[in-house]
Amino acid sequence: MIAPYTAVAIQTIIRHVKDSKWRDAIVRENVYRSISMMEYVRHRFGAARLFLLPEFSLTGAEHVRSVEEWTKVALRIPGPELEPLANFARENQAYVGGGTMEYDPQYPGRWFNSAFLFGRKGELLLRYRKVNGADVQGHTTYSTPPGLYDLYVKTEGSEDAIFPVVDTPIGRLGLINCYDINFPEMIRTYAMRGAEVLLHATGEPYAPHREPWEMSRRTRAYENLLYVVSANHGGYAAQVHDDVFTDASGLIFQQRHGGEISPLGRSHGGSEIVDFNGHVVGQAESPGEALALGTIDISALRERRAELRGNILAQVRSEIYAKEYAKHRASPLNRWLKRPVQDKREGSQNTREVIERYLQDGVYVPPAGYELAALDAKKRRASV
Amino acid sequence: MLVRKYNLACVQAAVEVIDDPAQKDAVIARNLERSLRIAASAVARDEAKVIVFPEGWLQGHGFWRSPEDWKSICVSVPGPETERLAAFARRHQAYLAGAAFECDPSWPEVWFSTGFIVGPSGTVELRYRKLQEHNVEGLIPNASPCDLYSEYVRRYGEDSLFPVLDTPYGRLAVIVENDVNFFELVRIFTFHGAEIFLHPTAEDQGPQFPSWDQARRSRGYENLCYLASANYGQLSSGFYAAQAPRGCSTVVNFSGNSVAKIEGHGESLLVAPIDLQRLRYRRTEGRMNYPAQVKSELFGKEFAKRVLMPKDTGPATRQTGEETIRRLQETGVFAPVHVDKN
Repeated sequence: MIAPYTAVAIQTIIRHVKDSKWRDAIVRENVYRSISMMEYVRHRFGAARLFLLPEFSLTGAEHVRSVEEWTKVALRIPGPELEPLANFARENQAYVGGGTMEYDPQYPGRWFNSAFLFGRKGELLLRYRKVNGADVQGHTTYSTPPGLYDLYVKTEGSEDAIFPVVDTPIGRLGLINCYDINFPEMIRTYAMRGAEVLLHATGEPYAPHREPWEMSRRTRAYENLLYVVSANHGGYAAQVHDDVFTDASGLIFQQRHGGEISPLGRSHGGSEIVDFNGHVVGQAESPGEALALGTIDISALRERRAELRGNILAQVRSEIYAKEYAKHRASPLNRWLKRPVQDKREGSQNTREVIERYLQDGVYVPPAGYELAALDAKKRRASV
Repeated sequence: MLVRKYNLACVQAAVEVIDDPAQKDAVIARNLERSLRIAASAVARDEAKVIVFPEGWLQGHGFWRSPEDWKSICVSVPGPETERLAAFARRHQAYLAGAAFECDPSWPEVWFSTGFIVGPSGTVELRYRKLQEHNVEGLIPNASPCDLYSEYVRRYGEDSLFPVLDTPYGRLAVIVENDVNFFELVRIFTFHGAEIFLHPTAEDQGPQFPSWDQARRSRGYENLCYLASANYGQLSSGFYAAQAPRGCSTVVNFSGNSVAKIEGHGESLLVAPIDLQRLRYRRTEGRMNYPAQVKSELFGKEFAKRVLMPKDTGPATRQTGEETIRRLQETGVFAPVHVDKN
């Protein structure tokens, strides 16, 4: 029997690596600020067993950086920068997870938007690489495992590496990042692989009121009878000159870089913990540095999964649905098998092509006045 | 004919439940005429072109019924009841959707909860049998096409599982009640071209029951579709609390927002504008275009790796559901309930 325990989403203000020459100092600052917030939890609220940091919480996400520069800014998992987090896990008999941009020399010319989980001995328990994101949205240049599917499965030795789940004394844990939450198929896949607590390292740069994503979290928890722990960033602290940051107020500052302008506005904040009924059990309601604490009761979850009534997971007609999914051609695998992503617009182009095909094939109906196959340069620009 | 925008109506009906199977025809006739009068008001006042009725609104759910009684209150689709509805549809040039407990005379051994659309042609233009049926919970002794998959596909063809009807008011699909909790089903209909989901439902929790409402809205958001849920408003039966159904009929749009909602129970009518042109335009936009962005091939592989509820079991019962949970525990999809690992 697993006793109920406290999980904490650590909502940090991310110090953003803009100029890569400051990478080490900024990453260190992000790591130590995260640890001091975890220390605060320990002193103020007593033992928590599970901590989660936001997506790209150690480097920030610079959307206009070249692939080559990213491979230098991104961290290794495991690696020296993450060691203090692993040590915290060991010293406090806790599980510590989070998101970071990652470079793995096995995949030259590529980088990943990844998440990690350290266990109570400080060992790396999970490494996950984001499956849905830039490859369909086109806002940056990280690779996703489906984009190089055949190579990825061969290198990692198994398809299981795409959806890793670890069985621990605090339940079966899995990781997802940000946009993944909006694809119910992702979370169903994890549930089919046994996941009970989904650690959602997220980076939602929207206004505090951003209902659809919150709805996604709750629906995912309810329809898969699992916990969702979502840690979002509370804002960006941008580097203004050399080692000078803006204050940590939750504002995202406008920055010029290479002629482009990065986002302006507040972070969504709203880190939260959702139980297997789809109810929120802990929430940071606003942006800024904050903590969302919630109780996770794995025994209650297991008892619930053993009950028949409303057990959505046990009722899914998966064979019939699997067949239909296999018949349909939506976003393809292996698009970047031979040549890594170079330009962030390749992701939105990927989606553009599926939409145009849908409009031709009748999956979608063109709106009145819409010109089919209008893949001219002007429209393409409008879509990125 | 191209219609860019029109009104859709959900009839939140007060339903008389067939308590005594001998009264079947009289009760159905009363439910039918009452709900058609309300539908007529939606046509007269709001020029509604698509009208949705709840699941089982002609017969009522009678969970106390014996399997024989259940079968005896079934109707056929098409049959006299859909003919009456079709006459209305032809007269008003509208589409009417609902769901009924149905037995196909050519397959009398089994019966279904069946969604259908009757249209201006004066015929049943779409027939869909509920896939995610409550029989696996022991609530109702009927069948899902999944239970009879091989035979079902042999009789009706594989395309009969996910039918979509192309109309001037958009591509319509019907899903029934519990189906809304299963994203795969709604996604597959979207792959088949569905734009407007008509959702006859029968939800009997109280108005404060967020899970189904969230699921409904997620379906709209993640498929860029409209979803119109018509629920029971009230029941008259010797066995039911009159206000047991939650009502809360809702129309959700492609942003996942509810554009119109009845906030509680009681006989009522919900009318919502459907902006078909805007939906179609939204689907041409790349950002957060989930049906185009989903990695269907990847998830097709993943879903095929493990069986949750199996097909071809024969009409599922509580036992089928319990065996499934046991198997999921044994194969490690579910952890065993009591294991000391601390």
